[in-house]
Amino acid sequence: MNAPVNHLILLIVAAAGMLAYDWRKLRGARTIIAYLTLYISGFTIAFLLVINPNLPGPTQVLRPLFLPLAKLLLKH
Amino acid sequence: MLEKGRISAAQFSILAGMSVLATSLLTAPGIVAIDAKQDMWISPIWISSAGFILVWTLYKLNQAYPDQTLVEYAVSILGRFAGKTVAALYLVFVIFATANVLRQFTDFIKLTFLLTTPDFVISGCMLLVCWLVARSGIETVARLPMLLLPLVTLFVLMIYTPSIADIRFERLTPVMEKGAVPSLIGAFRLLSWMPAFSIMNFYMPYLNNRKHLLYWSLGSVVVVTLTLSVTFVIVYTVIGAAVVNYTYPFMILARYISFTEFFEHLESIVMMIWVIQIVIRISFGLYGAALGMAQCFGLTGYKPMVPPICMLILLFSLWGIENAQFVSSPSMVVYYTLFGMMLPFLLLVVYGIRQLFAESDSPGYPEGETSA
Repeated sequence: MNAPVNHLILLIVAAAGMLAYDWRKLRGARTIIAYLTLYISGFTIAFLLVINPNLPGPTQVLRPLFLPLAKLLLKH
Repeated sequence: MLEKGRISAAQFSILAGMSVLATSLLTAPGIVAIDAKQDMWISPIWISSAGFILVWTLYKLNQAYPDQTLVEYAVSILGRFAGKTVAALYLVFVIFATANVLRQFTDFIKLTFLLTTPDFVISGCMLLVCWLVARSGIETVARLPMLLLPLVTLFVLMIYTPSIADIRFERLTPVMEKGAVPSLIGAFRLLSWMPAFSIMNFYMPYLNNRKHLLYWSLGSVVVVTLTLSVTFVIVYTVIGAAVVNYTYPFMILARYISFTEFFEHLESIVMMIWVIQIVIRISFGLYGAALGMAQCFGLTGYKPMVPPICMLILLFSLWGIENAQFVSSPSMVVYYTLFGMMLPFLLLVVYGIRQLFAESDSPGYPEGETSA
């Protein structure tokens, strides 16, 4: 359990540094909302991945979705 | 407009061509050879038709909406809600495709050079460079390839030229032994690279000599096709049927070269080609995604979008992927084709239908009607 804690601290420091660097340059409410939407989604994914690196990702969602079509095309 | 800079059609086509060649040069031979075998050099020629159609589609859409990118004209064509949804899905595709390229780079570096470095250090360093390129604006993104093209050409020739002595053309025979099907399946696998041309739409509105756009873009497809074809010929005639066993046949080619016993160990040159190409490819995708995201949210500048998108690309490149091989899996190819090629084409079809109805409707309107 020691490694994830260190990694989480590292992640939070890096994320905070990124936010501190960008924050002064953000002008206007729309920009801040758009930035925070992407930033928070990214941070959440990163946080979950540090806790559980084997989290199923977008690839696992896309693969079964397109597999029937792919099988249809490659059938020979 | 979000971007003040202007680029020329030549810079634009070099940027697009080098971006598409980036990952395909190194990994494509091993993947196409699985089905196509000695016909693998025909596959790029088949797939170039798809590239031509894609470029022509983007050109037509650009003519219809000269100052807009795909994200904006999706809204103009499909209406606000459907347009924004399609634009968001397309942006996810751009980010995901760029993340896959980053993952291929990370895996390559990790397997061949930096064996014990953690993944995210390699991809993080790469993204740092691409972040600097992308936030400097379209002119930097488009002029960097032009600056580095002679260097890459020189390095690629340094790999090709010494291997000419080992070429055995009889390995390419019999041509089309089992008909056209194996090379067509190889062409299908190449479809995971061609859709990268669709990211061109983010750069098309910022050209200053737009009348040359079509020829330069088609030329870019031709150059990509020829480079791939020549690479496939050299790789197959030197290595032979064993190409299938290697993930990076281009790397094997470089290791194979031994010229008068001092011109050896050209792997480092392969790494230099690869790093340059990947910087160009990722900044190509990153700038496009940041610009598209800013337009999707209706912002006044795209620069604040670059760091969070870098973060997402880094995460998508590591999240739930065991190795970079999955990029060439059939379901991924279908995903790439749907979003990279079918989506612009369907937009053009819908635009054409709308134009058709607008034209057939207009004579019915009274004289005073000018809103249409």
